[in-house]
Amino acid sequence: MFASVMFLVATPAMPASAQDESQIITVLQSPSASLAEKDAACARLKRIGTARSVPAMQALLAETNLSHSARYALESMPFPEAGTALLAELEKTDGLTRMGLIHSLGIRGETIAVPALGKLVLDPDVDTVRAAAVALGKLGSSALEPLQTAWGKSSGAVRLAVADGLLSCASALRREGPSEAAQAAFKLICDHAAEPHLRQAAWRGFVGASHPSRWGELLVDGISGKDMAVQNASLELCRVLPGKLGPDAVARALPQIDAGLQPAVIRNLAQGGHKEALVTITGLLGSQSAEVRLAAIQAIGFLGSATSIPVLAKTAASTTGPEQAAARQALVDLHGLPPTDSLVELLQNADPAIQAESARALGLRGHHGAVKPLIELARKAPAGPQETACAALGQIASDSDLPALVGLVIEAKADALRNHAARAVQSASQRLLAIRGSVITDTLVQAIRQGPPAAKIALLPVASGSASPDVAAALREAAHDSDPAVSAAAFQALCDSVDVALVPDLLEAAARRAELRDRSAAVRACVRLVGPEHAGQNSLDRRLEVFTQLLKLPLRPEEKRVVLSGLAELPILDALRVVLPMVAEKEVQAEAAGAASRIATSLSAGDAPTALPILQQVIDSVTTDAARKPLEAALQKLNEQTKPKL
Amino acid sequence: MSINRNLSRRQFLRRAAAAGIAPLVLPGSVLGLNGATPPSNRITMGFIGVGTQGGGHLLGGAWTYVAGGYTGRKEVQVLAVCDVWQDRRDNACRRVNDYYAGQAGAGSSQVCKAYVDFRAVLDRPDIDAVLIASPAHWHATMSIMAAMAGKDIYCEKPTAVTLQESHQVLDTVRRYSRVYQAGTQQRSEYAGKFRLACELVRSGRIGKLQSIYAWRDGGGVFWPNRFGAGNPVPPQLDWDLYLGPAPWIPFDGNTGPHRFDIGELNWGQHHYDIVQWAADADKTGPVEVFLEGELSGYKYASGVTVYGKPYPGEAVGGDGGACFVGTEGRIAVDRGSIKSDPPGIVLEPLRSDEVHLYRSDSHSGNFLECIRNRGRTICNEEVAHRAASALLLGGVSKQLKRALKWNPATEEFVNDDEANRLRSIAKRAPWCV
Repeated sequence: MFASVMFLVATPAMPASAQDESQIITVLQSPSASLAEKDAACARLKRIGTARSVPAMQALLAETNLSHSARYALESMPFPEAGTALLAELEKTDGLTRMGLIHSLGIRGETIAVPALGKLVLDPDVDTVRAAAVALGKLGSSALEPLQTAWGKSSGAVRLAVADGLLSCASALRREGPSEAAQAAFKLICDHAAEPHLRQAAWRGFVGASHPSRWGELLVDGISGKDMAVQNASLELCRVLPGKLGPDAVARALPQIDAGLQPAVIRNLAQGGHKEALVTITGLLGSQSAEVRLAAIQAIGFLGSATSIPVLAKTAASTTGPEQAAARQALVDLHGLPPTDSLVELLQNADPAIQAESARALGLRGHHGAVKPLIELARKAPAGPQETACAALGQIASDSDLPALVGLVIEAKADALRNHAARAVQSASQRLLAIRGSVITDTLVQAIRQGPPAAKIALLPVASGSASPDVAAALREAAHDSDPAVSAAAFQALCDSVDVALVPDLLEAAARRAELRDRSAAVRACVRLVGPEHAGQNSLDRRLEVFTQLLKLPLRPEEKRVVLSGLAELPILDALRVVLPMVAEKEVQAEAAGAASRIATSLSAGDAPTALPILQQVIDSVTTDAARKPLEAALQKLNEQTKPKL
Repeated sequence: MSINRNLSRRQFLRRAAAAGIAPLVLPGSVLGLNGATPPSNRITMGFIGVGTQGGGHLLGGAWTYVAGGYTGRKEVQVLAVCDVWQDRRDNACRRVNDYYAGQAGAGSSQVCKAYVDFRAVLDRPDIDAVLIASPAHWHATMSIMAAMAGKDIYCEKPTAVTLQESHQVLDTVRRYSRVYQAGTQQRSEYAGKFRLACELVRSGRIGKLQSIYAWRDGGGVFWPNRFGAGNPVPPQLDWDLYLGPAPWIPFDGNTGPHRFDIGELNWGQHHYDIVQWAADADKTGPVEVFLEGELSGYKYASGVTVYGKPYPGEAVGGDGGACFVGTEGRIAVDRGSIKSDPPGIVLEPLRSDEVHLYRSDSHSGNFLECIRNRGRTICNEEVAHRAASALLLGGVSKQLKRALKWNPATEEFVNDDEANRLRSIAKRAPWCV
């Protein structure tokens, strides 16, 4: 079989010729050819051999060393001569060689071998019986009788092989249609096998071999019976058979089936996609058994349609725990547009609790078409559905819906609705920003400039999440609003903004705001906006410049620590120089030393010679061992960088 | 026919769970087990092949995605380990027993036994399921024998090395209604990236799917020179059992899991499993196999073309993944990343009117859950068979160095006797199943 490698690697595929085959046959018949050469010849014949080459390979079948090589070719040859050759050698061989031939006869489906294999399946040798039983199993109906005989006599180690052969044969017979012979074979195993998996396989076959008009009755009997192997097989058939061929009958019988078994029946009917069972299963939502109710809810989520939406929404609104979770999931799992339309109808007409469940589901389902009815619900509904509707709007609104959502904020008379609606604007904006990289802010800007104060206050936090010149300008204006509540909200939005263009405004606020608390907030905002999170939007020099400006202000120690934390992220010499004088300040010495060591260790090798004396000055200035230790480690690293590389 | 069987407590509990019956189960604390799951309630398992891959499944590692592997799972009791190498099986057995000895309430500390011959594991009626992580050329034969013995099966990839034995696994697992999980864990693991990619593709987010770049092409097996002088077989190794259905060859020191592989037999099934999922081809397969230089590719009846190479210039996909190209964009996915062009395709959440696929967040967990409820696993026998076939068809094409036509319904090459002969390879006796 080395030849297969050679052909794979070295030779192009070529049409077989009579001359090729003759040469290969000559190799097989040559007394001087080696085992490897004959093996390679067989490998080649597997692909191109004709009936002409069979006798030469037959001569090898009884040879221990080459039998497998010959089988390698003969087993897959599409000529009856190959099967005849294998059969002819059966009586001349024994042991493993004979077992190989038995196997090849089975793989080829050689029914002419049934009489011979029928004898071998009764052989005293256990391995031979196994091989013969498995081979007979591949030979269809003609092998049924010898296998039935063998089953009656088999025990111990060979029983599984004989059962497998019998099951295979009967299955082949069953595939041709209802068959009493197949039924009898399956029944034999079902009645007498101790092994559950054999009875399960046999019952499955027994049902299949019966007339389809009986399948429903057999499934119901199987499920209601006492043998769990048969129950399992019947349940599995509920899943795999078409509804009309049995599962529908089981569905009709479902209310009469023991409640302990109903969840399993429901699950299997659902997995089988048997929509005919939906009415019966829906009826079981009123079952006394929590297990049954839970299985029913899950099944409705699988099998249901738009008409199932009201009952699921009612269940979600009226239950708790696993049943509520299952009902909520089912409301999301029912795919397609009609269920969405049903949910929208419930938004308009149902009780508040059901409206809330419908709104929740619509948000999770992601259908943009639900936006308008959800806005309507948010406008008119009581608090519960109102909040859920706004949350759903945040999940599905697009750019074109933002004006309506902002309008909801402006129109709102109650704080609760205003805040829920503003959160919806915020959620939608952030989601759209993440997906598309931008969000339309015109309406938001207009509302911040011209809306009523309460709306401005609600929407200013939303504006902090956007970075655009219009939004920045609106925030600046609002920060000087005559209404102190608005200006306070605007200042908070400035401090929370993601827009680095607002850093100058924040620097000014840090210098000029009257309230200490505001100045502190502005310092922190500046440090954040020139920190690592926005590194791509600021050059290192710009970042250093901002920190330097901040340090010129009369900062308290806690604010200086914040600035030092930002400086520590700058891998430049000038940052180290800025930090140096702060080491002498006792209140911030530890943070300054930490920043200095962090900066020093991140410098490029070229900066090391210049950094060394600065860092030494830092070390000389510190007064505690804790502060000195990381600095000395940084100094050592700088020293190593300055040493010439050998 | 009326059958009423007496069952042991463990059998009753196991089958009651399977049938959906809710038996009265006393908590472990009542039984004095300090909250541990009583052994009688656990799924009992045997591990066939405990080298790097199987050892990872057994005791933890990259392959199981659960610390401690199956041994560390409360709902599992490992009763047997098996390997042709004595040191492997003995070490694995000792580590399992050491683990159990350290667990309060786990029962005897010597519950796990070591075996050299996997048939002894299959013969044990107290074992529910086996995990097969043997050398690749053994996978299908062991799966078939395990199904015949009534075991549920987790089988590493490739799940078969010939088209014929792949189909036979499918038939046998079906005949016995066994739970079967292929070790193509990408459908379950990696934070659902592969599932999301397939859902988006099947929902039309990239428009009409046109081509798939699978990164890897077809594979198969070959048998090496089987004659000549060999080396002495180490006393700790059962060389005959290592070879199994492969032809007898003299011992040459190589007992690797993939020594007979050609092409991408080792990793290919991971890629083609995802390709099949995205192409909605789990119940079918290619209709044409072609060669592009040395690399095989194929076409589905839908017209979608699958290339056994990376998408030009795309870095994402090499780690088990693929790149899906449609009329309106493309999605590339692998174990580490999912990305799209345009980028918004993968960022917009999946809507309820889009395609939602089988969800499993743990491949081993999905296997165990299906053993309990007799459900179908995410990589069941048919999924495995079709993905393996897609891989092996490429291997046949590479061996013949030409394009082929395949009928996925009859599972035959169309009017191609030579190719059809390569669907199977005669197995060495006694490994005749």
